Amino acid sequence: MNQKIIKLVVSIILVMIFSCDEPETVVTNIIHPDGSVTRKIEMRREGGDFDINNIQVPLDSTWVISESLEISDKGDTTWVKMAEKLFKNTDELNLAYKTDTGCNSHLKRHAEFQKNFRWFNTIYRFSETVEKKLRFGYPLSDFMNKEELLWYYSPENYTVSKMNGPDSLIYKPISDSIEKKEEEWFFRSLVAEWAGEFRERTGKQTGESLSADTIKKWEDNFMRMIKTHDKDFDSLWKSGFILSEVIGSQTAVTFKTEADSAISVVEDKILAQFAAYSVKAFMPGKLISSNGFADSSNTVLWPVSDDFFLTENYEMWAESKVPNIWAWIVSGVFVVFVITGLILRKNKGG
Amino acid sequence: MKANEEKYRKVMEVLKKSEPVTASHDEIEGEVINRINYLPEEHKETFSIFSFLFGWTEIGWVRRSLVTASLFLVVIFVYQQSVIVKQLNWLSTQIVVNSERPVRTISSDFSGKLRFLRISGSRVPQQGSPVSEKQLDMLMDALDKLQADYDNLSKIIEENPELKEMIEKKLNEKNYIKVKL
Amino acid sequence: MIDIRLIEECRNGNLSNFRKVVEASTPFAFSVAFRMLGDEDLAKDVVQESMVIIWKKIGSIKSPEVYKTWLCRIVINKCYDEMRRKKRNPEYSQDDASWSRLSERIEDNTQDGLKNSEIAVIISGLTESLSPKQKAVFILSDIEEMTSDEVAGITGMSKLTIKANLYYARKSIRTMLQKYL
Repeated sequence: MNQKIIKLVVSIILVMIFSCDEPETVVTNIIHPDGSVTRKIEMRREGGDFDINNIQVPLDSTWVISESLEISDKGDTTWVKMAEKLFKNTDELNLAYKTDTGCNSHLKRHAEFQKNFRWFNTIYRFSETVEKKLRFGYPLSDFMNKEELLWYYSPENYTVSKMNGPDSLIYKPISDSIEKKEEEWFFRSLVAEWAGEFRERTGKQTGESLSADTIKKWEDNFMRMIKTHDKDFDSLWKSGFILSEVIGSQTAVTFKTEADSAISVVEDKILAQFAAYSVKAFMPGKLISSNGFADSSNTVLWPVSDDFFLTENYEMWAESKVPNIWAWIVSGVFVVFVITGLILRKNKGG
Repeated sequence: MKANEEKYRKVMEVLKKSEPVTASHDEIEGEVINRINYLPEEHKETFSIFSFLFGWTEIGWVRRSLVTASLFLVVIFVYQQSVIVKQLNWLSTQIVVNSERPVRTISSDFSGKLRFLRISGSRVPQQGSPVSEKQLDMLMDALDKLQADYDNLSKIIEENPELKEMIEKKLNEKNYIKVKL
Repeated sequence: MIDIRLIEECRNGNLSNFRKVVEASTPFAFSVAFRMLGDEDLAKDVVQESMVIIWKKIGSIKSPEVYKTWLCRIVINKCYDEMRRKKRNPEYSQDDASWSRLSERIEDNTQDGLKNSEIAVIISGLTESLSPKQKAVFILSDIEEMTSDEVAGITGMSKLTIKANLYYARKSIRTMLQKYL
């Protein structure tokens, strides 16, 4: 995001986005063939105290926790907290999410495990989903093509290396195009969310519902206002100028309370965030498919950013297979047996 | 057409009536018995094992069922393996990352970079800086705090003219320079 | 006629009377083999080999009643093998005298049947455009007068396939009859 976007974000939500000072977190799920999951959490923080409220995943006294200290060549001190727990199944994991009291407890997250017997192979599928934050936002795919989506969801170290690499001239236009589209998607989604919330509030009072065309018109007005008044947006909103420009002066006066209430709800939703968070999964057998990024050790990695689940559920899934050796042997013997029988019959002329 | 039918019927009658005969019945019997007697014992044993194992080949529906089952297994195997190979090929074309650390960090986002720029400006090259980003963050935090304290102090001084005068006087005495807060 | 009791004894492992089984089976087996192959020596070989197989496998048949069908199946399969071999080295000669004899027999029904050599020439001539399977269906159905169930049991074909093959065989033979008679 460029500086302008940051300013706009700050303007539209009217509050500073405060980080809840979360430690850098890597959650590794080791999936076992029986459906149990060993979850390892590695948290890194410059300060020594890991405030339980700032931890981004469910963590309690039932975990095996260890802490250590790392000092880099440059003298940086990093506190590392490692936690590990074996969950009998994904239901237990989901229960932990439900009872979470950490800084991301307001997010709806769930994990799923499937084991499918396919005679020659057993296919394992693990997925973890973070449910979308906005109810009325637009899917990112409405704004970006497949190539751009792939780039957008890629780990930052990958995109940065491409941008700084020899093919930077190729990737620069893609990156620029994505930035513009992301901005468009982000604001339109926020406006749509605000409009949705506003519609629900005004609908209750007036018994009317706003048409899609009206909402679209409001969105366009809002986008125009953001672009033309980005520097003084905050004060213009407070004065009611923006609202009357967007929804009409009469409506703005009548429904000022509802408009403020709607924007307050949107602010709360935007405040929910992940910071420095990534998920890894280590599947049983051989990894065959995933929407994540495989690393050299056959582990799948998903970067998790707030924007990924802003308007759509973010599902991180991976599939692996374990060959059923006994089925291979049984099938091989059976086929050889049948072929032998047919050959003997042919030779005997029977 | 009818004549042809009739001719066919009559030919068939003749052929049915004309059963092929052989004068070598004894010869055939003798040869059969002879061959039976000369069959080696182990062959007979093998025969019984083979008969036990492969007797199904003589029963049409069992033979067809087993052939169908084995073909089904082969088809399933080929299909599954081809799907898996296709998936693996697809996976191999995907981005491979090698990261032990989180891929998005606070210091890498816009505000982190902005802080780095504020502190270092163009004087410190981004690569090979002797000071890490984290240390710069800490420094920046301290700077912000210092700025806030200074602002508070200035405010307090501004609100109290006597205090302001006294501090100006002290500073002027110490530095021999005219200072105006 | 083959004695069911003899077959039952042999099936139960008492092969002391197998010679009698051979004696009773040979005429029928020879008749089918000769009509299929049109060669006495080959037909004898087929009968001998078939009887040896029967001696080996008689214990595996389900019931004595299916013996005749089973015997016929073995003979027919052996004939297929011989015909495949013969196809590689075809030796076929037509004899006008045989067709004249057939004409005489058709006219005068009281005369004796044809000689083996005449039967061979006539059947070979009539079935020259048929495949081995069509020939087998024709011989078993129209000359040996077996039911379609029996033919199905022997050849392993479905009843529908048998009907189709028989229809084609009859049509082809009628054409041949017009050619030769």
